[in-house]
Amino acid sequence: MARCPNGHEQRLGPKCRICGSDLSYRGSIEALRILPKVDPDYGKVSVLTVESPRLLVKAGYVGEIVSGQSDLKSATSFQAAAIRGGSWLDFQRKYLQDLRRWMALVGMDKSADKFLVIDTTKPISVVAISALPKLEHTALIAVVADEESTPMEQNTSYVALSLALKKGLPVIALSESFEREMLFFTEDRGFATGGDAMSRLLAPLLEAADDLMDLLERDLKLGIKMHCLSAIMAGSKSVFGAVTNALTAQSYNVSLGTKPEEYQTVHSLVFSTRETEAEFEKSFGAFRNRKFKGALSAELRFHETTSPLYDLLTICGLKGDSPLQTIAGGYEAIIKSVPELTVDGAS
Amino acid sequence: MASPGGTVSASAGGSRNYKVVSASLRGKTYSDLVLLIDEARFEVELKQWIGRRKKGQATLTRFPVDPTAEVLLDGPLLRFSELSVTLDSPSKAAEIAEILRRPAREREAARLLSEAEKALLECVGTREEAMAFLAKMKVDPREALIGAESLWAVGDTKEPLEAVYSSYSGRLAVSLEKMTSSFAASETKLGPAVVDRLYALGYAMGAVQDALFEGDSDMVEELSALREMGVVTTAQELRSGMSLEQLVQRAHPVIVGFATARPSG
Repeated sequence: MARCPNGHEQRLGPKCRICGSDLSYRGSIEALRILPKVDPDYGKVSVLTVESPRLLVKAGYVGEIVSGQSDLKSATSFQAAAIRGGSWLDFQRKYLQDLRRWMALVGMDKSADKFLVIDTTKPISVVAISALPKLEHTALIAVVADEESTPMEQNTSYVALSLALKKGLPVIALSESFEREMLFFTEDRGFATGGDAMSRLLAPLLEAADDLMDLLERDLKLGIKMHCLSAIMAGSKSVFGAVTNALTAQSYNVSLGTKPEEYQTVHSLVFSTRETEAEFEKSFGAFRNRKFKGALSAELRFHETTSPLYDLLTICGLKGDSPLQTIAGGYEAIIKSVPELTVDGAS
Repeated sequence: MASPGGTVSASAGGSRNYKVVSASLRGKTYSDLVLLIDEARFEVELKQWIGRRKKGQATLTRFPVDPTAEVLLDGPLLRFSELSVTLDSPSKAAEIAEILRRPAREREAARLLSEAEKALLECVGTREEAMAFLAKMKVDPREALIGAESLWAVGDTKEPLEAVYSSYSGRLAVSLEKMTSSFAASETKLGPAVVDRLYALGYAMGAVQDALFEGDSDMVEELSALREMGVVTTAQELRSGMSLEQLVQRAHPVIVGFATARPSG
């Protein structure tokens, strides 16, 4: 506020509107020093893909971490120049600080729910998980090495997964073979394979981020960190008949080579029209009683859509860390040759 | 025109006449003269009364005054260029000195004003940069922070936004300090009224920045304040990114008027 010699105060203008005297701004010019505070909106859901195909999902933020020809940084991408013959440790040494900085700049910790869609067979995945600060409401949807992967991939995947579990992050694991062979066919969009199939699979899952995180965090409280996934995309009555059939059919196409006795929790997310809700509820109850009687927790979350085709995604919480055990052989084989490539070497 | 016996100066059509007691020009001394000063052309003419009844005048010299020429005043005696004149009073000599010194004073005022305006622009410019960053933070925080990464020092433990904010605040404090120092340094010569105007302009420009940041589309008060300072503009112009330089340029003539109207101290 400016003040005239007669003590009248006024916000702006050179002359006092009351007495006409000159106003002095000498005392109020310090106001220029004040900058307004901002409360930026980072969006509710952040998705960061790591060496994964670009996803067409609805989220407040979708960013990527990739290795490419050169070092490049933008608000949506962190590209590390490929290191010829480099292991995850070479990437870790070169990029860990940079990536931590980038994650802070893009506010990885700012959204309510954070998902990393990550290919843990790729060297940069270890750096990405190392750089990730310890955050709440953060989960991994991870492609993991399996029996068909090379020992080097198994070592990388083992280290990345171990780091994630150490940080207490829940993981939905998809084996490399499952990801490679993923194929969806829908009447409206035809075949989807590779990155398209991954996008199709993750789009509904991430759009139900609130429910998904809730279910994963409930399992986390039960000590369950590792999950497998099965899905039916664009299902319909004409293909599957009763919903029970769809639930049974999807149990034959699981993202990890796990055995049903390893399942401790089972949760289904359904995206369908309102009138099908009751049938899904009823069928899920029957399916659970038949196949998952001993499950510690089982829940169905329904999301209304207008499409006559439904998406059904089921997440099963696993006892222990079976995906790690599957690839432990390759991990050990590599550290016999390169002792530095251990989980401790990445911590 | 001054009468032979008159002692008053007169101004007609931008010319002033002064009775001169004696004058010295190129080694010769004259008496009973009239000095004419054409303010518009900045010319002087020294005339001498001629004839027994002193009804006529003969021009002794007429020349444009070098605006950089030194003007020396010693009581009723005045020296400038190659002319030395003694007037009938020290006040008349001082009045002429004031007129002759005006271009130099105007030049000095223009220089000081230009420096003060530069300091003002630097200050509001720094603030503008900070406000642009903060406005971008509201729309696309990630893009804003990536763009301002250089302001977040490696190893700084503060959050990036906090670090960038601190950096801008620090820079703003420095440029504000520079601006007030510049104003203070020039105040003796420019006068408090001019400096008050500069402060008012700076404050109004800050208010415009705040209004734009808050999304105040009308800016009624800000526009009215600017208009009172000689800056005619519209909300549309301000919203579409009218430069700070343009605002200061529009205010400049009014402030110059204040600065040059003031007699030298």
